[in-house]
Amino acid sequence: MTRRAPLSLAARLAVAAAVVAVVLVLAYARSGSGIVVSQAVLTGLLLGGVYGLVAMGLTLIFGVLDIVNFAHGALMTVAMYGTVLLASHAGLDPYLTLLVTAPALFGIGMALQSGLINRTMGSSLANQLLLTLGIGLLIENVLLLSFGSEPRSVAVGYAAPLRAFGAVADLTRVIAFLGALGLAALLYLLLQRTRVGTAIRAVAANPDGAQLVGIDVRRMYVLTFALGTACAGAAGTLVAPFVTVEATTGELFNIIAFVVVVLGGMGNVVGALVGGLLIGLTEQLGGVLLPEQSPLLAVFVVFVLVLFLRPQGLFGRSS
Amino acid sequence: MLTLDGVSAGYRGLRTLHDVSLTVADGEIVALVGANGAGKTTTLRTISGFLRPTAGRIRFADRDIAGTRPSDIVRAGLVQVPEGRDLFGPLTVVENLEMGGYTQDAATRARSLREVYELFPILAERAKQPAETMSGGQQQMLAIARALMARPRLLMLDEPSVGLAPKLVGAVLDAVRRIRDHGVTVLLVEQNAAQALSICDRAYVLESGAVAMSGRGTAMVKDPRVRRAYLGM
Ligand SMILES: Nc1ncnc2c1ncn2[C@@H]1O[C@H](COP(=O)(O)OP(=O)(O)OP(=O)(O)O)[C@@H](O)[C@H]1O
Ligand SMILES: [Mg+2]
Repeated sequence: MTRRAPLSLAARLAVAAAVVAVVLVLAYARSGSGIVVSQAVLTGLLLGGVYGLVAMGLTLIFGVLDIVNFAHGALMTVAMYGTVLLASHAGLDPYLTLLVTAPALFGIGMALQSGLINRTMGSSLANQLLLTLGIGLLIENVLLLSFGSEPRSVAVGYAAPLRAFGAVADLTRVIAFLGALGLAALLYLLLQRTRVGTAIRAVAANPDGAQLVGIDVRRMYVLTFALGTACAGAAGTLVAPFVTVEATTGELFNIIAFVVVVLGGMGNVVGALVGGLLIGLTEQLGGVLLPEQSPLLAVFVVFVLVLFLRPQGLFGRSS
Repeated sequence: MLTLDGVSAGYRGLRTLHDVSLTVADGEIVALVGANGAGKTTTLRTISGFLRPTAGRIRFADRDIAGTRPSDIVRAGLVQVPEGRDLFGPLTVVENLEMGGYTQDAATRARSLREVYELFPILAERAKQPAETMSGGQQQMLAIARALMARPRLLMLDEPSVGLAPKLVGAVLDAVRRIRDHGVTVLLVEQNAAQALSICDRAYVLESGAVAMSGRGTAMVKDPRVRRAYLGM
């Protein structure tokens, strides 16, 4: 049997672009309105950027620690409540709270990894899954006890709709998108251009080799988990102005980020960002194509297709 | 420089090394030879701190290093080129080398980089290439160069010639000799005993996790017992 040569990255991107084009045409045919389609594309891309940031944190943790962190979404919710409190009680600008929430979640990530998750390193996947799932549930219930079940929201004084190609986007969503992209770029530069970032990639590539060059691998695990958690925290603050904040708000982001991580290739941070944008589009265009269904349906269809056709993800390396 | 004194070690309660004693003096090349599964790799992994000895002492540069973490052992100047190389595959050649000098300051790293490029010019040519895309011989050179970037006082090599074409085996062993001439002490593990014995000063033969024989390399090559048992002659 002859094995087909793997498609180059450019070819894979071209295929992805072609699929997007076909879906756009179908959506146009289905809705009969260009504005509906461009609205879906705009909304999808803007939210997709945030998905990308959440997924980057998740995929970084997976790539380096080999842990699927099911507490990621709950940690994101912690940051949302942080923003709610600081904005409504201390009167801070919601976006300014990023300076508090991102470092705070970095610290929480450090504590979680060095205090709890560290102990399951190298143990079975099921143990780690149960632990992170348990931490997630614990956080949600603590939030529920502390803040009650009443949904909270964050008011932004200068919210204003922006228009492009007939579509309307709220300023808060545009800020979230730009913020997410900016932070994603920062994380990428940190990983690619700094000594500590290279060390993180070295640990991901070969932990034994990393110890043999004198890298303190346990410290890198703590640092990486903290960085990934800070991504979730930053994303939590960025979305707080346009979501209703409840103890379980982060769950949906966790599920979507998990799909994005698989789509982008487990452990691939650039793939996570591109995957985030694609899933954002999928969700919105899916809503146009299948208006009676939950928008998540299309996301899961894509998820299952990827698992069948390309389990290493669009940008993962086949092993 | 390095002394193992009655060291026993193993995996999960299973004892693999039994009462191993050996010394490596400043400036020597010492070979550690033995058949498949004799415990050569286990010995190096114990010295490097991946395995904790269940008995005995390991002294390096007048310090007891048994139970010290691998990253701290590297900082002390004891560096290993492991079996299977453990390179950072997706990272470029120069990134692998930079990481090799992780424990050093920037100026020292830059100086070491020039030195290893001089020792292995091919690495300078391939600097921007991912390590995993290089041939086996080039990867072995990279693994040795990465270890040198840590400026070891003692370099331990675990079967550096395994899987290489005969011509490359000579090149790698030649590099080992030049490294020693630069003042680095070498502990060399080889299954290919004839080659190892010919370049070393002294050698130890490991058999079922214990030292069976030791002596000068040149003498051991001539020893009929060694020739029969380990050189297949
Ligand atoms: N990770 C491990 N867990 C359990 N036993 C192991 C492990 N690694 C090696 N052993 C056992 O320890 C013994 C010594 O192995 P070791 O790898 O040290 O031998 P070696 O001399 O390096 O052999 P080779 O020349 O094949 O590399 C063998 O019996 C081997 O099966
Ligand atoms: Mg071995």
